Amino acid sequence: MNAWSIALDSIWHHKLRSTLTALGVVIGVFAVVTLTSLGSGVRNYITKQFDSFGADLITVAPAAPAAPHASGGSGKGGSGPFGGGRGFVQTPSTLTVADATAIAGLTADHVAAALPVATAAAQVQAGGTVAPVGVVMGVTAPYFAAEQLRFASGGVAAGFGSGVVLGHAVAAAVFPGGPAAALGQTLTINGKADQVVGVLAPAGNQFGTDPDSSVFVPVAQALALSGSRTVAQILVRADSTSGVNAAAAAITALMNRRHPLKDFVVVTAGQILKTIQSTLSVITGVLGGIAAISLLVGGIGIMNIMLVTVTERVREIGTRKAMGARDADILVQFLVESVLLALLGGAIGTGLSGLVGNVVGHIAKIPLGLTGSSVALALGFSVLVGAVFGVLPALNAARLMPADALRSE
Amino acid sequence: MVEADGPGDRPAPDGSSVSSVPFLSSVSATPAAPSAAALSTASGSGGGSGVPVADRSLLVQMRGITKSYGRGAAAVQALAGIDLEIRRGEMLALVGPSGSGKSTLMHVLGLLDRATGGTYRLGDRDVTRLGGPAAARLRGSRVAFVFQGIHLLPSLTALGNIELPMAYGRQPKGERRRRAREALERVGLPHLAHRYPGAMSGGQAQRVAVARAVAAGPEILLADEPTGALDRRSGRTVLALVQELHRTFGLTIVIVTHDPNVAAHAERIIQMEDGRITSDTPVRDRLFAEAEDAAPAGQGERAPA
Repeated sequence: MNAWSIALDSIWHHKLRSTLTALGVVIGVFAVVTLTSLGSGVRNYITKQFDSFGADLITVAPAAPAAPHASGGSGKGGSGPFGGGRGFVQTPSTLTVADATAIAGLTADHVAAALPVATAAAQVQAGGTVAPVGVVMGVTAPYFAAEQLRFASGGVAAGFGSGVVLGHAVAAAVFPGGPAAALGQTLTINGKADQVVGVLAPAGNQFGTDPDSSVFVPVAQALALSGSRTVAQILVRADSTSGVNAAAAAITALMNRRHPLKDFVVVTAGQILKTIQSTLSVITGVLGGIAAISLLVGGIGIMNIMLVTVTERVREIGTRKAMGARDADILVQFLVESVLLALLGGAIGTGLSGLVGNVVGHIAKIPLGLTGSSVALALGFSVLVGAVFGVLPALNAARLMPADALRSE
Repeated sequence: MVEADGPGDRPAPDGSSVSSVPFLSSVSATPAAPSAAALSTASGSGGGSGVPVADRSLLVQMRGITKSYGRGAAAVQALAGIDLEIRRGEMLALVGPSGSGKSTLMHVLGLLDRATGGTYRLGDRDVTRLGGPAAARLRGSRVAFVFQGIHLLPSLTALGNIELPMAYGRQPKGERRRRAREALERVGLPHLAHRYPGAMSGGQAQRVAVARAVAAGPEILLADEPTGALDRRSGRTVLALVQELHRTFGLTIVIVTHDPNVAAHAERIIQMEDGRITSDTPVRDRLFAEAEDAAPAGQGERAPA
């Protein structure tokens, strides 16, 4: 007897009940697949973003000096792999412009450019209004390209010796005429007049920095504003993605000589990416685990209905046994039915998840399609759920004495 | 092998015109050859009353069969010591009030249930303790059932239902299909081959159930109130069909019934009460006895047919 066709028949003849039974698994699989593919989609998206702009970047940031009893190297500074957080410095910096110049000299070690970045807090005013400025950043001309910041108007000369570049939000607040109108306007930074030479296009928040509400001045000017000789961090660009690790090693060696206290960290984009990815993995795992609980509940739903089904179909079981069905035949029949129900639910849930993922991905502009592994995992789990929760009802059915089964009318 | 015992020669039961039943024409038109294949196990036995029979060997031999449900003080004894012998080719009726144990006896006979005590031999095999796959195999091939509630599976067509016992018997699909079609023709419903039970009348469904029971060529057919759920006309048709199977192929048949009209079709009537056999009478004796007394006649020897 073909257990599959019997099961399909039975499922087809009780469409409403089958649908409701499978619904729990539909929801469970939908939740698991959606959350895991959301996680992996976001991961892929971030990886791609890093590849497109950050893969060749190395950040040298200040860190707490390595404690005498700690054997950790420079890479294990107190402030973690994010270093100074690109401008939000918790640890007093000892990095200088001279360090940046020295690093820039490592051209033999795949270093293409070293860009010192200084930060200062200052009051920026234009025509009597105080601009909503987060931070004044001292940068060199290549900084904008390295951070993928585009100009809405204007620009900076290769030397970037004077003038001020406004973040998009700052410009919009103090010069309502638009980016072009802001060019050439005068504003004051801590009372000192300066001329706007460029306005940035909107950039959004990027990993802890907020270019939109920053203003950018030459490094020397920012150092003068803060009255300090040290820069917040040094951005280094390697000449190629493959040269990043070699460059990072050379920089570490150089900086170890210049800063025997090892009060710095050298972080590559890859390391940052790894940290983000592992964090995302944990989040995805936890969410997936929670979703898996709903799959469990779906399985219990199947067991419930199958138990009811067995008592409802005692007559059928009795008839089959009277016609020569062995216990094993009945067991397989009901087991296959519950597995098929779960598989059906799993397939529907996976399909729904793919649909929702595509729609959400389209809106969020993140690729969130189904992955082969998530589909395989979901269907595998469905089969497992159907089998595990189908065993008890199927055993109940198989153990029925045919005479008892026929008597119960 | 089968004597020329045409349906027309048969005494028509309760005056109904048996020859009007559609299946009969197909049965009489069908020579013994295909039916011999389908009923190979019963091939040795001949027709019913009046037909000399070659193999009248013992098919069922029960000694002191008991069956009780529950344990201790709550135990209910459904069978209280049954001694019963059934020879091949017999057609007997099992009668008695509700709760007399006749259904239980039928279940034990059909290996749907196991006796609590006693011994039960089916053919040359002790099946008293038989259970599991071994019992299932006999149920599929040697013992067949027709139930009051018909019990066709609603999700299968007539052919699918008829094939069911053979499918569980792991017979090849082609063979199954062929025998199922044959059986369906024998009950006069070849045009219903692909119809589902839901679209059949009760009488048609029960005839399909009879086809299902005999398609695999069983040795004994157990019919539990086969006409109980049918109107009079359909009941008569089904009964005539069962009798035809008995006459033509010498199939051993046990009919459980309340209905004296149904019982009158049998050659031997076994009366049960409180889990015991109270009388075991050849049918002619019984008819005479009934004329003056509603109570069944005492134990009697089977009259030589």
